[in-house]
Amino acid sequence: MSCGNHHDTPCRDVLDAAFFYIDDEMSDGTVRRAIEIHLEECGPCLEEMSILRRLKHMVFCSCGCSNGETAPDTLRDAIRGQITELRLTMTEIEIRNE
Amino acid sequence: MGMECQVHSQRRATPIFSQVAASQIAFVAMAMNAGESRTKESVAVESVAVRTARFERDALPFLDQLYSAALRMTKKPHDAQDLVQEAFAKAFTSFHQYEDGTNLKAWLYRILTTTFINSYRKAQRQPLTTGEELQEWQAAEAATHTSDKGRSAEMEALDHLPDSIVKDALQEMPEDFRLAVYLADVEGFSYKEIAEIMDTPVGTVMSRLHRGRRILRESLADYAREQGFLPAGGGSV
Repeated sequence: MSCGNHHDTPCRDVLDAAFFYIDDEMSDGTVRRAIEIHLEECGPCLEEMSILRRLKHMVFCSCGCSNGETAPDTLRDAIRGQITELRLTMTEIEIRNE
Repeated sequence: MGMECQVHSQRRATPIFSQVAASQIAFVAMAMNAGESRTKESVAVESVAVRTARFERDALPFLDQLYSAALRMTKKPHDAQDLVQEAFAKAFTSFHQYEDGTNLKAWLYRILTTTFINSYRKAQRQPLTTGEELQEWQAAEAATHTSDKGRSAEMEALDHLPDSIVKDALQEMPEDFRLAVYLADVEGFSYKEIAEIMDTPVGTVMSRLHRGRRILRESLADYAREQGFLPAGGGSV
């Protein structure tokens, strides 16, 4: 699992940490820097990382940026009505408990 | 305003909501008495009126986001509305337990997700995903390393894929994986937040998220091959 060239951090280690890297879940700054150095030297790993980033962005776009749904007005009204009802019940209990 | 009142009176009484309504008073009383976990004095003495105002100001703005999330979960607008309504009722009655200044979005998503898992998944009788060994996400990682040629072709193929294909591929994914991918990549939650929302250890979140992405990648590569965007055997999965 190596591109054949020598790196201080092996390709295998970089690929194992790839998801953590693209998710910004690396607590250790030293490891992050080691990956960045590796990506500057290693084309195949850089490309792999780009694919993972692209997929992440595609998921975001397919569900998030282009068609973020707005809740229907009926739902909004139903929730407001429900809060009003619950509030009355809670106020009654509040008074009873005093 | 007249229209609004009419809508109120026509509020749908769905089976799930009816169950909530039936036990509503008992539940509300229980929720109110369970207020000992409140940490701030100001919250402890907060009246229902003040809490309601706080809820409407802070929690209601998340309605559109929660509705979108509910649509991804249930896949049906009608079910999504019921789910969101039920989640908001629960959130409101336990809002005194929410600690002001902490992550409200994650708190609401947790209620939504728990409600979904408890009410809807059981109703849909969807099987839980199985075989989630923690080591697997590490071991399987090796499989994603192939020739430069395969990767370049895959990158190019991804450019040709329409959003709808990604959406379909996500919908076909086992639910726990889909939820993890959705919460991370669309909602931008951290692994720790997803663990809290899904009520699972962080290791399980990693396993679901990483495997979910691999499944997604594989099905997109399959589609690209079928469409001729990617040569047979191309792609890195």
